[in-house]
Amino acid sequence: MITTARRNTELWGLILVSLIFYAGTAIVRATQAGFFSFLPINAVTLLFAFLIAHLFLRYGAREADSLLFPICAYLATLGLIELRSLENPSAETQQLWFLIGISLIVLIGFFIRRPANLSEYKYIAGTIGILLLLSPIFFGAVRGGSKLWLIVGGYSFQPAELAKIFLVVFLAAYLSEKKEVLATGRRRFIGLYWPHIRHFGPLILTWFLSLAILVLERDLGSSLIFFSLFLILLYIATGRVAYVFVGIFLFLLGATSAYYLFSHVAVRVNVWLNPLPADISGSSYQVAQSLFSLAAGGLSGVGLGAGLLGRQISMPAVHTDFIFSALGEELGLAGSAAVVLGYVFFLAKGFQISLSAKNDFSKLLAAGLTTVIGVQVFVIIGGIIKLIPMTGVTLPFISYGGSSMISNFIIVGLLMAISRQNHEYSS
Amino acid sequence: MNTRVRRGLIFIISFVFVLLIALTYRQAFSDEIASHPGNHRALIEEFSIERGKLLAADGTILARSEERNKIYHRVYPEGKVFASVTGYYSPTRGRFGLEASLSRWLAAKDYFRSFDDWRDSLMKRKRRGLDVKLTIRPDLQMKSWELLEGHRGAIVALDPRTGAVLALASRPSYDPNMIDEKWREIVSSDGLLLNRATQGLYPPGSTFKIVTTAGALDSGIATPDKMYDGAASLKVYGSQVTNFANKDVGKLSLAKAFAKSTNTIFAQVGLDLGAPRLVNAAKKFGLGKSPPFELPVAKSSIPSPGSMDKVMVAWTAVGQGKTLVTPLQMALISAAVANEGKVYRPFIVDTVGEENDLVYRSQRPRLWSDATTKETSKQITQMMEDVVLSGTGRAAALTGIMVAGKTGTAEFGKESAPHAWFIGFAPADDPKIAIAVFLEQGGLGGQAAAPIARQVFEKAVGSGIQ
Repeated sequence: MITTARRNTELWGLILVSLIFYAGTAIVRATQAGFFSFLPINAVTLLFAFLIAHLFLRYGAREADSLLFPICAYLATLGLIELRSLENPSAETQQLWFLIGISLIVLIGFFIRRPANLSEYKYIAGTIGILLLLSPIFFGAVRGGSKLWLIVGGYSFQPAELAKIFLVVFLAAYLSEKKEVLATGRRRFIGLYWPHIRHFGPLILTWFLSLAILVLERDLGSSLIFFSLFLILLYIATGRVAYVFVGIFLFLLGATSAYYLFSHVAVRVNVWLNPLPADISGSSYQVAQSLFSLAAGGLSGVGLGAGLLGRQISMPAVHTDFIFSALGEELGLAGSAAVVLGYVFFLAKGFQISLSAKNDFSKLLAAGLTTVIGVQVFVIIGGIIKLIPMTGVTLPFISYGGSSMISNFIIVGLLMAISRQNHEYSS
Repeated sequence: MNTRVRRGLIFIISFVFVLLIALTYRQAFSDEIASHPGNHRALIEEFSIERGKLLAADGTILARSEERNKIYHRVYPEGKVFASVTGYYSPTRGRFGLEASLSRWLAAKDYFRSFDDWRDSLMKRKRRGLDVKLTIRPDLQMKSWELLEGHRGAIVALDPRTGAVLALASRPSYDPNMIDEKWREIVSSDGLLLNRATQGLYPPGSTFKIVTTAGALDSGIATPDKMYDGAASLKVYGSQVTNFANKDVGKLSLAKAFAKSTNTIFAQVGLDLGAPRLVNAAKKFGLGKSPPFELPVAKSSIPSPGSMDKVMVAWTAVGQGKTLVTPLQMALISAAVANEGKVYRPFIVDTVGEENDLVYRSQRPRLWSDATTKETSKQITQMMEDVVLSGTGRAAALTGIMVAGKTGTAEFGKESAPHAWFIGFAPADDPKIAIAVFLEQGGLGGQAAAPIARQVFEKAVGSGIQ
């Protein structure tokens, strides 16, 4: 009974999201074409996809969490509406990616009955993760100053997006296994007890990896995400705050050297410190335009379909890294805060699943997957509003991009699988 | 481990809340950022509005908007000829002239009259600005422009019965279509952007004798028949007021002296009148304040009575003191005499909006100032007729139509040629057009300005001004 009520919540949530999509696209069209049309083809397609996915979950994964799917569908829907509003040709493709994402949730919910078993593949996952992360160094194409893309048979994808899932699986498995040895050490060094160096091996490797991404691929964002993920999981597993401080110290050390060693890092930091020089046509163009559009949005926004960013004001990457600026302009603080609150719900839900997980691996896996999303949101929105230097990462569920959509929906699928497994253990 | 998971959650969520606070700051308290010069949003918004047309009295298009790449560009089919009226509107150089002062209507940005306007604005639908129809008569404007060929100067023509501006020409001028392309040239060339008709300030010369005469007749110190001694020069405290070409005209009545523009006699009239009454007469005609007008108007000025010694009073009465006037002001003085002593507020906007859905219609006439009495104005009109019939302004005479006028020759330096003036109205017995012609260093008013005035009158009468 309880589980049926739970799936009903999901159903109503998905219907609500479809209505939001319908209203949003209708407003965009009315603003752009000048007439109001009641024809809801796209919204009906989406609702249909939602219903099919829901039926599968209702009968195949009844015990899975019921809010995660509506929450990320809500976020993805806002992205779809905004891409339409930007008159971006990628709007249709993104809807396809969204549908693929939904089917991934269903597939994972259906077939991964025991996500705890994933820990058995930790070294395979770790190796795939590292290979994916490093592959662009050897085969990658440079786009927007960073070497993040692999081009395979005419299709391009960002391996870092998928790598994060494999690395979370690896870290969760490794840390749940070694947490005791890592938590208690025998050797004393700089006033602390440290475990044997060999237990640290894989972790030091991870640290080097994040620096390598930073240096060789010029990907500040992913580097920051991996490092934060690593520190948070290390803390949750061992409970030793000292590691976190040492880690932060090491990261600051690396970041400071990067500032002095690499011009592209220095440029980003300087733009952060002074985003609005007298002439904004140079390196600060995107950040400046982004700040202008947030300011133009004000409290209530200029209206869907009426923003200038990405249309009258040209803006590279407005449909990917800077989509939040366009949303902030059109929907105002009301809308951008609604986006951030969507993530807050997602984070709360993800950690709740971690809390109710019955084994350490599942706890760390759920916390790690949620953390990846949380840090990514902080890194990109923080960069856009000038809280931290801008680093080019996508806004999960909202930015255009197949790699990003697929990996984020895999994360949702995995979280739902863990929640379902929690339920099975408890009953 | 759950405690630590909880702490991890609190840690991440607290970061997200910091994000929310910073976001609030960026979106709600961002005026400083929004006003950065690199932010072109306000401009883009403005240039995505199709501004209304500027139309002449007969519907000739003086300015319209043309869409190119989602941005509206302003086109001025009549170019330079109407630049003194239209001004310009450019993405980089801003707005000027009527384009600036009428922007509220032309852009119709915050102008809501109906539910449709409100809905369109809410839906960010493109809205058209309102058309503005002017009182300018293109045939008169074109004629005035042609007559100013080769001169630096201005011609202002008004309907004395209402205050409607019929022509407002200024030369040299610029092409408002080329404001972006030739900006450097336009600003660096001498006075291209100066609208001489409304903003050029010049000594009035003998045209000011109308004011002196009005003051004298109104105060009763003189009548048109009062006799004065028109010696070649008049000594005032060791200084001298001299006649044109140092000519001794003998004994003359005030009316005759007006027709011949005898300086020594008007100096005596001025001295009899005294500074306070002379300045007061000028103020009643509008000097010392700028008339409310749709285009920016420079304030015509006369020194205060306290600052004038007798020499200055004598020269001021003649029109050669420190008095400075705009051609528009002189046209208003001429119109005041034509209109029984009443100065009507000049205006250039006739109607705003669609023909059967007007937003605004000019009120006419609206009194601006009581310059003089009906009787005095009749007497001055008589004198001005004599100027054209037998005095200095004979070159302004038309066959079949009585013209009233007054010439002016304003000297402003020993070396250069004087400024030429002619102000007047026609027909003298039923005035329908009042004008001021001004030519910078144009020479003698009677020789240079009066013939131009005649041709403007001719054009106005020929095209059947009502």
